[in-house]
Amino acid sequence: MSNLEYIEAYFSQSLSAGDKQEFEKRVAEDVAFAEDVAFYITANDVIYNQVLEEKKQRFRQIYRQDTSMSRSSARVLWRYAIAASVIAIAIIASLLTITKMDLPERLADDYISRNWETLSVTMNANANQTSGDSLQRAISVFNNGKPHEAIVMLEEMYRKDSLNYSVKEYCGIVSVQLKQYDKALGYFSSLANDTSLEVNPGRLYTAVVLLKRNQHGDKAAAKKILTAIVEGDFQGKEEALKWLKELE
Amino acid sequence: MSFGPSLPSDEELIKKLRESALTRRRAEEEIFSRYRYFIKEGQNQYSLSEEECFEAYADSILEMIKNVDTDVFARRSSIKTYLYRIFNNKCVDLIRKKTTNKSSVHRTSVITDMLFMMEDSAKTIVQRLIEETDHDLLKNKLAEIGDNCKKVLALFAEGYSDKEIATMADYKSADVVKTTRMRCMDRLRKLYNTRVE
Repeated sequence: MSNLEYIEAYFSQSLSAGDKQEFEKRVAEDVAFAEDVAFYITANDVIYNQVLEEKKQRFRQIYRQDTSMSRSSARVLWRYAIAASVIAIAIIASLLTITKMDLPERLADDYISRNWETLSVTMNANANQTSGDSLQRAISVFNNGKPHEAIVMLEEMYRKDSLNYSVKEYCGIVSVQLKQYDKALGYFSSLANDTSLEVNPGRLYTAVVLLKRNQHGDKAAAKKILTAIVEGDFQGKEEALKWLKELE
Repeated sequence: MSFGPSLPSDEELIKKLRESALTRRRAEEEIFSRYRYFIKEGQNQYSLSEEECFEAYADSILEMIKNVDTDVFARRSSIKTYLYRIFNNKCVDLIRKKTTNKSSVHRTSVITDMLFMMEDSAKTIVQRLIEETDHDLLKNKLAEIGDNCKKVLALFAEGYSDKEIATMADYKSADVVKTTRMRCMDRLRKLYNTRVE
């Protein structure tokens, strides 16, 4: 088996546990072999990103064509669009009236489904390599539909590094998905009080959980926080303004 | 009452994404066109430029396709909902990047995925060597290895097996594809080393 085949067998996970250990030992001891492995990974990355880049170029062409076509179609269709908008507004207005009682929860549900059902696996600058890896792993576990396992991993990280704002943020988000709103409020309040952050979503997140929990006094508390976000020009101002109007 | 040809369902689109390169390409383009209005929505909702929203949307499509390939997309929601969530996250990441300069927008990285499979001490060694590699030079050398090599390596990178590549690209067997791939990688390595030395 050539080095390349051997490396490919490792990354396609077709080596036995013993062979895998042997492979890693060789990486540590044989510089030339380690260089082969590094080249294999980098080359695959370059090739894959090239493929993605070509796809993006195709998308760009389609977007340009579609945009110019839709501009001309739009002129013809504007009357229909206005009529459809009037009907849509009438329907939305009647739906809003019917569901006004559930409005806080609905606003929170909408935010949660748009933002927290799948989490972005973005490395954080305040995390070191090890905690960054662990965080990514926990987020992947969550995105794979295992929130109970994800919260165990995240809370373990939180115990080790309670100052890591990303861990705090994800602990809160996953707690919300597990309907543990009191716990989520704890994480987000702590995040909101973190004065070291230039941009802090903690206040907005706290308001989201209060709207979702919707117990006696929660709506008023959420409105107070949303007003503070608007007045202080904090992160989430746009969302806060929108919600305050709807909650009036 | 029908006003034209019906659009392929989510089920059909996902099936097509798993077929040959040409069918897959059409399905990718269909998904891109169908939800391209997200770009406009992103501009309105997040005050991002059209170009930024296009990048976020194109990256979201690519991430969704990768998640279909790797079965991460568990089909609990529709393509539209799933795609919107990814797009939304990317827009938020973009805003954070712009406002704090503390995090970067997530990009699919083979390097991260592969390093993740390695044990820590081996990973550290390989990671250091990867950092020393001239990625731009490697990219340039990739353009020199010939169209057949590029095609076979690209198909493999997209996740097609040697057997599937053999059928799509008219090779006699999966073994021939594998040998060709290895030869192409070897050629790329030699081209890269010649320049580096």
